Amino acid sequence: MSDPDYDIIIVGAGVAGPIIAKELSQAGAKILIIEGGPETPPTNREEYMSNFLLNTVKTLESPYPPGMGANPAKEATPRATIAQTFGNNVSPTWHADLGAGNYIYNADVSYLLQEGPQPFLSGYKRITGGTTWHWLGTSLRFLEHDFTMKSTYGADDPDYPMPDWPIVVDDLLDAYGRAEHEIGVSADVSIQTKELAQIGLKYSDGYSYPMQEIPPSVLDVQIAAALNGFQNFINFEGQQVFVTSTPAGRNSQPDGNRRTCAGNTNCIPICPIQAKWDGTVTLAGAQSTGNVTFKSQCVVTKVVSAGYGQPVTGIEYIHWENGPTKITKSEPITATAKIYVIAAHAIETPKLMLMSDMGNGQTVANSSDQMGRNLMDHPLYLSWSLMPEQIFGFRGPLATSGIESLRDGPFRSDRAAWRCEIGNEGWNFAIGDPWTTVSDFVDGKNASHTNANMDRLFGAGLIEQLNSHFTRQWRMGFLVEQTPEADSRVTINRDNGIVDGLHLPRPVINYKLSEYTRRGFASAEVFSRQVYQMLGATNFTRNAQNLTAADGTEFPNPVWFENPDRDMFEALPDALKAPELCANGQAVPDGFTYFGAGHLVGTYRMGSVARTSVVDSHSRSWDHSTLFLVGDGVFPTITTANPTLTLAALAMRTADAIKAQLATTL
Amino acid sequence: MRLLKLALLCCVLIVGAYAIYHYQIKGKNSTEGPLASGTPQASAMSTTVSCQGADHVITNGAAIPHLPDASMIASEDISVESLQCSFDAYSWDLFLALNHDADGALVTGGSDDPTVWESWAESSYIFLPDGATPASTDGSFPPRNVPAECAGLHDGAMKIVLQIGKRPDVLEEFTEPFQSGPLIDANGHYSRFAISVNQSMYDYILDNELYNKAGQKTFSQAGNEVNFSCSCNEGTDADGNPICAQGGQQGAVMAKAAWKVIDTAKNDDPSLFHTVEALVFTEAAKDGSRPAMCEKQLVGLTGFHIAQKTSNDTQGLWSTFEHADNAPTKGQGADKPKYNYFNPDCADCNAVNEPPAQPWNPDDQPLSDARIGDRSQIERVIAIHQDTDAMNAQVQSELLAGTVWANYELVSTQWPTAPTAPNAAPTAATNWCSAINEVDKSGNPAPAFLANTTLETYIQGTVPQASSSCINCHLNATMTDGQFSDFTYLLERARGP
Amino acid sequence: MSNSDQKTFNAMSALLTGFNEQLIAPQVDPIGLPKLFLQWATDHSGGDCANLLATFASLQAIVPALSTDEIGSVIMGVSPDPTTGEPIDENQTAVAQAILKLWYLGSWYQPFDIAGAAKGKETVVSDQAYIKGLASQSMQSHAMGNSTLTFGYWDKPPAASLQVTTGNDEVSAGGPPDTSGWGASA
Ligand SMILES: Cc1cc2nc3c(=O)[nH]c(=O)nc-3n(C[C@H](O)[C@H](O)[C@H](O)COP(=O)(O)OP(=O)(O)OC[C@H]3O[C@@H](n4cnc5c(N)ncnc54)[C@H](O)[C@@H]3O)c2cc1C
Ligand code: SF4
Repeated sequence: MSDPDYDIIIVGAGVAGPIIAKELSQAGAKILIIEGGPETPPTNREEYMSNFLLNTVKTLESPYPPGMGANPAKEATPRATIAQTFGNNVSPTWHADLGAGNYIYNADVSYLLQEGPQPFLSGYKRITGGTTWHWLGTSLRFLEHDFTMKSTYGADDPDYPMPDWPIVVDDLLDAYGRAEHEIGVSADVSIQTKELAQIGLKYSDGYSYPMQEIPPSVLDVQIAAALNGFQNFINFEGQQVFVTSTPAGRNSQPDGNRRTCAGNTNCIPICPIQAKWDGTVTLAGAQSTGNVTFKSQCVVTKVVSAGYGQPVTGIEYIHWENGPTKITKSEPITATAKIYVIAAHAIETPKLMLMSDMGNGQTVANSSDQMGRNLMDHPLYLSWSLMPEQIFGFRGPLATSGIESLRDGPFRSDRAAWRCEIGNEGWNFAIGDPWTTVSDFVDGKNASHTNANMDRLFGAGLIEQLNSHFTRQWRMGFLVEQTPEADSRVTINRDNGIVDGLHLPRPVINYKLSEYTRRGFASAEVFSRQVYQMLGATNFTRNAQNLTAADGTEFPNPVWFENPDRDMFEALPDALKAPELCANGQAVPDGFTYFGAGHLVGTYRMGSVARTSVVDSHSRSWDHSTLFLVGDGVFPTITTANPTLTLAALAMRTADAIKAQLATTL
Repeated sequence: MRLLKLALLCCVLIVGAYAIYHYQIKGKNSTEGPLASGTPQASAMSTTVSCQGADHVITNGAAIPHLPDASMIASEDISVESLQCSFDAYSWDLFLALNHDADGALVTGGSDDPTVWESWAESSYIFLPDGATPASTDGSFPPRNVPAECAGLHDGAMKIVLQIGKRPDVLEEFTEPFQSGPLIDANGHYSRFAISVNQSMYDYILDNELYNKAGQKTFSQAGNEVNFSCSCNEGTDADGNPICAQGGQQGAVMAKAAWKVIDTAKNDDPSLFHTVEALVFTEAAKDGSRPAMCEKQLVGLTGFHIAQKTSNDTQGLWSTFEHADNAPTKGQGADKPKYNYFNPDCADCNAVNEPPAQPWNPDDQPLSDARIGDRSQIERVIAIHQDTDAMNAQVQSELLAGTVWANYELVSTQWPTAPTAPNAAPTAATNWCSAINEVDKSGNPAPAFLANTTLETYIQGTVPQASSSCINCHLNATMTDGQFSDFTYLLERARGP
Repeated sequence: MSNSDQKTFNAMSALLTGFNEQLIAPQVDPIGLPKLFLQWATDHSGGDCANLLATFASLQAIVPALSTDEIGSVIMGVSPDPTTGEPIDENQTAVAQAILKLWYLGSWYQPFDIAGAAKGKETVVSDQAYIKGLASQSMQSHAMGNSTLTFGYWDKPPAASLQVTTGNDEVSAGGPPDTSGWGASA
């Protein structure tokens, strides 16, 4: 066999790919990075920013190619459009039509083919830099018990849904530090540990973050003043609550030739000044070594191997370009290396692997039949309200603090934990403000539910009404830890005839939220009522059970599910049943709606045995020793923390393993 | 109505103050100063430019103007366009004053002497590697901090040792060169950048110990916010309160320069540039893959920013000049045989206004002829305004003919249209600066976008926040502790404890 | 567009938005939104923008003078035109509402069908229109994606009062919202 072209081939230039490339190119390895999407030189920020400013709908995907509303069948790298973008495009009969080749969302709009029973609501970005173009930057560490859920909370319960990880938190402490320095995380260890030691947040001795913490917002301070130290939250007996500053991959001082955060309040969908770290920063670091070859607009279509136990012998990719009328694409091109790293994120990685047929009826790295299973997200419960005092939202980074102190506790034996993100963006996420409320008070409508008198205002009266609302709006976002489910999964279907612009099959998604997960929503609603009671705030949350079609008929909202625990609410004291504290004004809610958090996790899980997992604790395939599948797809559980810091730390660990492997075998 | 007052105040500040006080200093210039040096004058001393219906006198004088003069504009003609003429005329006055010989001689035929701004404190010896106090005991600038690699090349007879391209840990501007991409000229050489500050700005940094990280932290923690001095002319307001220090004051001025290597083998003509012999220093690679390097080279000025804070313009006035042969203007054809940063005929050139491909390695240069595609291929995106063009032509022919400076042109001047807060009158306590507009600290600059092709090469568009606008961008500048640094990226270079 | 149309448009815009005319249509204006907005409204409303300006001018000319509140109420269709006793033409009110939203949000919401644009079609008329939208001024902040302030500003209440921000001394900030509408259409 001839010499391979490179030491390492890395597929995907988001977070995991560039980190591994940087670590190993600095050590002298010759690396090829293959990225499916277009290159994004610094100049592209102008174009993306312009798209954002001029788009009427400023969703997280609004700045980026392909254009909003592009048909995924015609795009080389269509995006997984988030469901909110479809608005009322859902067919009123979606529910009845499911199965039999029908999907929740129209395949002309939705790249992901959603078979349900519930929709998967998160998207990702397929351009150089990956999904970090529109990440928020939240960089929390996982907690001690996050790695040992089964042994800590379910040792005696054979049906307990959460597995242990093959590593414990101490295995990752150093790697966390390296990841925090690569990303450039702003936080303060003493503030983190003082309040959060009780939930098992750990650091190496003497550790300090690279940058000072981001200052809390006026809102954060007000909530902290009301809540800190309180320990009588229903369902969390004896656990103290604290509002803490959120570690963020966002500059609190000049760093890495990038500016200090100026509080543009726009981390999602685009930081106009790149104060927020993104994958292109680390990629540029890797490229500056001169050891990295970078190919963009090259979609990897196959990983080649002769069988389980055999090495990977190459990868195939297609180079594409946007022609004047349609996409032009190359024949498949083969590239070879000593080591292969797939860093294409938790939907494209399993899709690629399931496309990688070995000619014997088997696909690469799937002897366990776990490939694509256990797809997870943080289903997000959004609760929004008006404060009695002005707290001046819509200022500063989208979120600067959160309530982390309830992320762990004995309750995890029977219901989902969550972290609560405090939003500095008023009701932007919640109802699309300022657009909705302004339109209400100018047009005399009540879409916001705050203009019951249907007032039509102008002049000073309009200013005062808007000021009064906008400076009091705020929201909490609860990131609920969902359980891994074998049949929440990514598959491909070569027979349905639905492909992307390169004629590749599209991911088919099955997804559902378990009872354990849904119970986390119930506890979030109870918690928010107590918070509103303490603050004197009025709850305006609406969980819409039905949507209204153009002809006025109502049909089930795909993102609504029934309240899993009516008893929890029946048992509440009357004061917590007052309509102004309750979502929908319902003392006992009929149900809840959920959003996606953009956290796609779990489809090629790591484990300590090959039979039940896809990769080992270094993200190496059990089936092929030269293949590494990296990113948050390896997480056995999603925990309550945003995933990127941990996937970055795991990438550091993988880089070390690859370095060792290259040194010994070659 | 308070706002009306604010608006009036602005007008008073913009129109009135310029009218009265700037006029005085102009009078002063024409009677004293370097004229006495007796140097033979190849060019006229001043020229009157008619712009938007008003006459603006541009003076080849040595005194740095403190404020623009808008007195010649009738109040009913006040507009962005007419005021722009005043600001542009001021920019030329400033340019002429700063490009005098440091000893005061005027720009004269054939001359190319070291300039006033080249004698200012350059960032690399304000922000020393260990955060040490710049060695200045008597108010004079400290000796240059010559890196060991350069020391051997240092020739005592060299008029100036310009140590440029020294890359500090943090560049003063992220946009250029190494993060958004280097500027590689048509001959394959990397361009270099340097920033210097005048005495006023230097003194402020020194007095407040802003030259190292600890000093900056102490400064912020004591509740201070950086506020460099503003230029102003002596006088009083309507209520008889002083609006400036006695005798007027020269506030903070910063100059940023872009330089290219003059490669005579590649037909660069040194007589077309302001040139200096310089020691070009390249730091060692962080990963140790290459050592630091120093080379003696002849370099020519291709881009030049001047920013001056004035008592009316808390955000500063931003004048930007370029060498006339830098790049063609988009859509206007490339009619010159040769440009500094554009190759008029090549099929394999890099895409226009995109950074060269990685890796960027300044000690691997000049690029071989084969690597034609790895150079910058630059066009100006926003054409120079016709008023400015006309002013340039007149100044070049009437004041600068026969000097290297005739090859330089003003691109534009950016100024804040709503700079200040209500009741913003300057006082000694505010270093004679007006209080900044708290609603929009950028002061809503005009023109909204401004780029120098050598300094903001890759972001020349018109997209808010993402494209080059001197004031909007510098509003984001902070010290090492993240606190506002008053529109300069210099302070983030501080090191040490 | 004639100079006097522009003047009427600016005056009407100030009255409807509640912002000082010097702020939204300054004499020294590097952006030029008033001109853009009048052009846009004219191009997207048949003749109704011109009609609206004429209505506004005639209301301003009434002796004894109507208060700004009275004029605004007529324009917004909240009270009748004192000269006719009838509300003004509803298309004119719809254009006024569209202009008001344009100032606040930078988006033009097509008020009724015209050739080439159906009622309800939304357009961001320019990037500057969005970032300078008055909605963000009414919240004493900045448009999302366009900070006009510096690091850490969010840990303190706004430095500029609502009166300074709007240039309108008559607005009083800080009153609590009326939450009585809570649950009205749960
Ligand atoms: C709105 C939003 C907010 C978020 N906020 C946070 C947050 O605050 N904190 C946090 O921790 N996480 C956050 N995340 C999640 C975070 O963005 C992801 O965890 C992270 O980007 C994953 O990194 P990755 O490298 O695995 O994948 P990605 O960043 O998605 O990159 C994968 C890359 O692989 C490329 N690729 C895919 N398939 C192929 C192929 N076949 N061939 C070649 N290339 C391919 C893609 O084009 C892409 O560039 C957020 C996500 C969203 C959507
Ligand atoms: S708050 Fe603004 S400046 Fe800061 S990271 Fe987010 S988008 Fe960037």
